[in-house]
Amino acid sequence: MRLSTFVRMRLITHNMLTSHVKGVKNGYPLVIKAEDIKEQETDFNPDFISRMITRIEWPALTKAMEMIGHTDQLPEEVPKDYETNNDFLKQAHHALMEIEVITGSLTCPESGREFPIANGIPNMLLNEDEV
Amino acid sequence: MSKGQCLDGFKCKYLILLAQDKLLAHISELESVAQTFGFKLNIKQKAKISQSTGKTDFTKWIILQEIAEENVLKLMSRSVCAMSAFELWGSGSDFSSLKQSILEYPLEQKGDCFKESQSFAIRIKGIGKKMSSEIQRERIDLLEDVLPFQGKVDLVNPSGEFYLVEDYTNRVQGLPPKEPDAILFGRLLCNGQRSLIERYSLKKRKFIGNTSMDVMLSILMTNLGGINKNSVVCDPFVGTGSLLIPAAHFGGYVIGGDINYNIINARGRSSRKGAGWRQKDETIRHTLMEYGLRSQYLDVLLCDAACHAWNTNGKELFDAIITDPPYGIREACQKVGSKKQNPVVPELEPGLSHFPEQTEYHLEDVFKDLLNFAAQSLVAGGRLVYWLPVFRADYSPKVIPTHSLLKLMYNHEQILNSHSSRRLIVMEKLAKENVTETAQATISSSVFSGHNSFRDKYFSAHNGHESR
Repeated sequence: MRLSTFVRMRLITHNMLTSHVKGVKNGYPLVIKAEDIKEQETDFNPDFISRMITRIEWPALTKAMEMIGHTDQLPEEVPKDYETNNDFLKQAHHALMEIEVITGSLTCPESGREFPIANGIPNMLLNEDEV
Repeated sequence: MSKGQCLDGFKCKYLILLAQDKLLAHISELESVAQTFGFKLNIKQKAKISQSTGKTDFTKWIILQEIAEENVLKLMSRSVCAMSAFELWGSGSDFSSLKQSILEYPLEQKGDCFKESQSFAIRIKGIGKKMSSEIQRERIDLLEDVLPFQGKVDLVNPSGEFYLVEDYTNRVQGLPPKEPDAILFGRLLCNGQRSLIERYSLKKRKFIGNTSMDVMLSILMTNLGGINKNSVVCDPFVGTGSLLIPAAHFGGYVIGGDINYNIINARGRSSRKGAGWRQKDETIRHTLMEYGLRSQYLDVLLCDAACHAWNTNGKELFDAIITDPPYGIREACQKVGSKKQNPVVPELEPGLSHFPEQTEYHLEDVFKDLLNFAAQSLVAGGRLVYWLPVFRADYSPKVIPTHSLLKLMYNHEQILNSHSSRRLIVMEKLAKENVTETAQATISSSVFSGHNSFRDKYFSAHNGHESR
């Protein structure tokens, strides 16, 4: 069966998700286990990326890159001149928008509960015995 | 003088002709668009009590003053409630006062319009009355002495397009009045965005659902939501993504969640009659691609709005939340859960996923959860736009959910039938410093308590039975 080529999960999305398992205090960031990754070029919009830098958790993004095996592609910290630093914004853009996880899972760092990713769509539904 | 520039020191007025929509949300829309672009709009609209019906009638046009022309163009670049904008050259309660005001309009402001090189067209429009070709010709003749055009007439693509508008909406005993209430004359600046309604028509779209939002309303919601280029927009009940498409069109980046596995994964039967099963390309991402908006798509997730997975712990994620939660009529209100006291999830082989059992999601909780989610995840100044179903006999302002971090901006009723309506609610997130952190959503009225609270009343009234 041909895998759908239309759906993926981006790292910008991963950055916004957390574990909501009952009783968990430190459910962020979720641990990524990626079996299938694709790099897909998208339009670079420096204004948008620059805006996102203040919204996302940078350490969670660098951690996510490491988890999927893309080490040393991002600086440890956001540079002070990030708004005008095009090279940095391009790197951030590549990490946030152009790397897509097709199959894999997101795991709660505290409870170990796994949320599967299939066809690029993370399934964040808890089971009926967990709510 | 370049065309369409108000001269220094001269205060231009602008006539905006409005589309005929029962929602009457045009002022809310224009105010919201103005705020998005960073300027304030003060519109005074005259409400008249109709002589024949006794009901309040709002005028089908408004005049904007104290506004820069570039801001009028910005409003029109977004509005679906406004049909067209004109530089107002004259107005009057009768024809002679109208002609006089055109004469008095500064010549420098009229600029090159009368030059031989400038072709022109004069259109005659009656609001509330059809203007026969005879009347139209008569009006054009009457205007000749105050409009000394020297250029050629071009009805297809003129350099200057002019409109004479006569307002006959103040009906007397059901018939248009003999004389118009007001007569206005202006030079057309530009049209609004109603052409987008055809472009994004649901009839032509492949991926639709039972409750995909009407295109005009989804554009309106986008405008009320303050969405602009680079906004991050979330729909927690995304379905087929119909609400996110205009947001993407205007430069927003869109993300959505839904509990329904089939809709998210392009499975199950199509909502279109006779279309059979959904095809692989019936996804939100593909729809945006078809519209040339692929770059605006972020992601969709399988997610329960009652127990969402967004990291709202001290982080503000979204500029806007635009959504249409299920009312229990055409879409069931469900969340993950079981009726059993201690549900047991079966052990599955690895690779197989469990489809969690779903249980009733009471409307009261749907809206409380939505407001709590919005209060946590919106940036200060960000907006929540959603529909609230209401049994009309039950309605009072107490029915509208509240949250101390969210300010109610607008509330517009759309009547669905004799007993029910839905209200378009717009709320704005306040800056956190002004309110306590532990605020929670509340609903003062009990109309939404209990499962199927809206659904039962809706179908009871439909069937003519007494509501339980």
